[in-house]
Amino acid sequence: MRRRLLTILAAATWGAVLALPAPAAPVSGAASPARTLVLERIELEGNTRTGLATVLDRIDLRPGEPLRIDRLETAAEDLRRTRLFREVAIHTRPGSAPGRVVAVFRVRENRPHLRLGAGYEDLSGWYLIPLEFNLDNLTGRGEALSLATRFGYRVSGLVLNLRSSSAAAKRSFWMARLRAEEQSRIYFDDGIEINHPVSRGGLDLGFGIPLGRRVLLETTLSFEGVEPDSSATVYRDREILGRSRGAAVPFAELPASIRADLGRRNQTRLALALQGEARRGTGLEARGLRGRIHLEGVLSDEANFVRATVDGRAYLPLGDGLQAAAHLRGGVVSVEAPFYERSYLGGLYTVRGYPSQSLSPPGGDRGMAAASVELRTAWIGPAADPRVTGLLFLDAGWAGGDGAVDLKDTAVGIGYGIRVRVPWVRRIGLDVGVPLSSSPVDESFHLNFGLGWTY
Amino acid sequence: MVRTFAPLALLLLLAPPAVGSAPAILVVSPAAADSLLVCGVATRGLPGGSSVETLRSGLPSALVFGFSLLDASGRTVGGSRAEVRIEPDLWEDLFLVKTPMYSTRLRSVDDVRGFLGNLGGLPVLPLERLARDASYRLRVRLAVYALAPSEVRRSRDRLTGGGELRDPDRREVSVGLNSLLKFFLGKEDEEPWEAEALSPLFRRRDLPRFEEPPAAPRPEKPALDSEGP
Repeated sequence: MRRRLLTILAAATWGAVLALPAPAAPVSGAASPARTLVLERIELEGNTRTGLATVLDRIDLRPGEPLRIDRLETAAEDLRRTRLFREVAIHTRPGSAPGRVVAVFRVRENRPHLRLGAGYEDLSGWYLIPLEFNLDNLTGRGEALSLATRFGYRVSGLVLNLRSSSAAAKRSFWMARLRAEEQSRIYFDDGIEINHPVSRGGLDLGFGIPLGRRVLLETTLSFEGVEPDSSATVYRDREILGRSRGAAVPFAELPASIRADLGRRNQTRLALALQGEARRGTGLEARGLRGRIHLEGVLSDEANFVRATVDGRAYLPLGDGLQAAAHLRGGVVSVEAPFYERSYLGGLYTVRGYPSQSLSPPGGDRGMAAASVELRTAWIGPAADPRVTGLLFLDAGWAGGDGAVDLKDTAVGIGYGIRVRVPWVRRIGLDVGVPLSSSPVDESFHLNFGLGWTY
Repeated sequence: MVRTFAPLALLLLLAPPAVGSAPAILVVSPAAADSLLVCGVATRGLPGGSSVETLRSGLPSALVFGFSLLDASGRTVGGSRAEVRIEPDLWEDLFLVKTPMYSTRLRSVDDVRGFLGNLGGLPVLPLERLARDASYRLRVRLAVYALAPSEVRRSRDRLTGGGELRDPDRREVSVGLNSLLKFFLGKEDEEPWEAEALSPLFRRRDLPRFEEPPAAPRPEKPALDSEGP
């Protein structure tokens, strides 16, 4: 069963990698091939330290190619997203012959600056980034350097990030990240939500290389130390069980599967990931597939383990501002993995209608699969970038502590949600999920607030 | 009609040459067209240097007008936007200028310059939104897009998916402190406004009727033809 499920998941994700995108409609007035505008060269104005090569590395335009407005806009948007520039404007000039065009990017470079932010993580809940210091592009070669803090109810930490180019770059990159963080891992033990602090810090070194226009191969080597606390606390009041929030859960009362994994571990992790993007269009007009396969091996001073995950997504516009979207994900990890490296089912990104991580035992699952379909409709604003979107969803998830997945234990949630476009954050959302199978908490529905689309 | 366009013609005669100057709105003239409040604007410096280069390379350029209807005390009581798009055809040696109410084919950049110098009939609001005897002003702002945005503007979150796939259980957003301050100080807008002007006070019952664009300074080659809305 497990092999069959993995085969399906892998096929879905490879489909995402290999599928061809739908043709994009031409935007410029050029009608016939003979009348097509051709990009002759690209120029940069207003730059003081950034070279043209740095810009060319970050845009998907090449001299000699047919030119369309949407590709120019995409290139300008790609440059804005690099955070190398405060402003990016674009215009064109006539080239050396009629129909040949020179694209001119007029930029104002970014200076060292401060940023504020927020995030939502299934494991850690909401958190704030009260300070992020950015020193991007100091050498003019486009490197991204930032020092960021993050604080939330269940997470606090500091991350120093250096990358040869920003995440928006579509070329090969290297990265180095130094991090120190304390996360609260939540697990359910006989209906009681336990908050277990886990400290982890380390160094990540990564390298990515594009394989064609739509596929990216990434590899990461990490050295980290992980240390779960020897005790935990009750995360939410359960008066009916005589437990109140903040009450200590000493070592002796911790679940056996957790106690077995306590103590400091030094881990060396080697990961390989293949990511494919074959999606075209924006918002509810997006069409196509995306996916990622991730494999990693971890050497630990306690026990070595391996993990594999797949993630596939599909988008299909149905017309009149309607879109169908689907998400399939799954993963397996070997039995030696400690609880903080295992999968947990339930919550916004797996099965809505249940609290986060509530559908897995305290020590987590070795195998997990989740599938979701959404029907989205633009209520206010254009389908390509709606201001308000309504959606219906059906989520299902399977998990198994021994790595096998039993379809009899399918968890199903159904419900509706809303996404609202707001400044900076882009989209915030609220989903109301109704559990259709048994839940460890006594709820007739569960609310999830989130950032952006669920997938 | 004469009362409406006389000041426009006078200003156009007195205005310095457009080439090389920053875009400016010289006169704002509200009018009525059927059930709509429309606006005529006399401008200078359009299309600008970058727009002209873009047009000559064969790609479209655009202007966005932002209208705010102010009551006598200066309070905003309504608003709208209108886009004027100029699409060149290198092979037919033509420029198609599209306004919300009509389109015109022109022969040269000079013709385009003449046309944009005196634009009429930009729709603002339904007339029924105006009280018959109350006094209003129109505030007009102008944004210039040397390269016209495509028909559907691209969403800014289009390519954020890489991070979602890399870490499917996590979403994060951040904003520069400068942008945040600009927003709270009211200095950030969706459009990069480059010029602004106010109309004189007017009343709905006194509005002149808009019929067609007034005669701009005639280019040497006449416009080919005009199309209805």
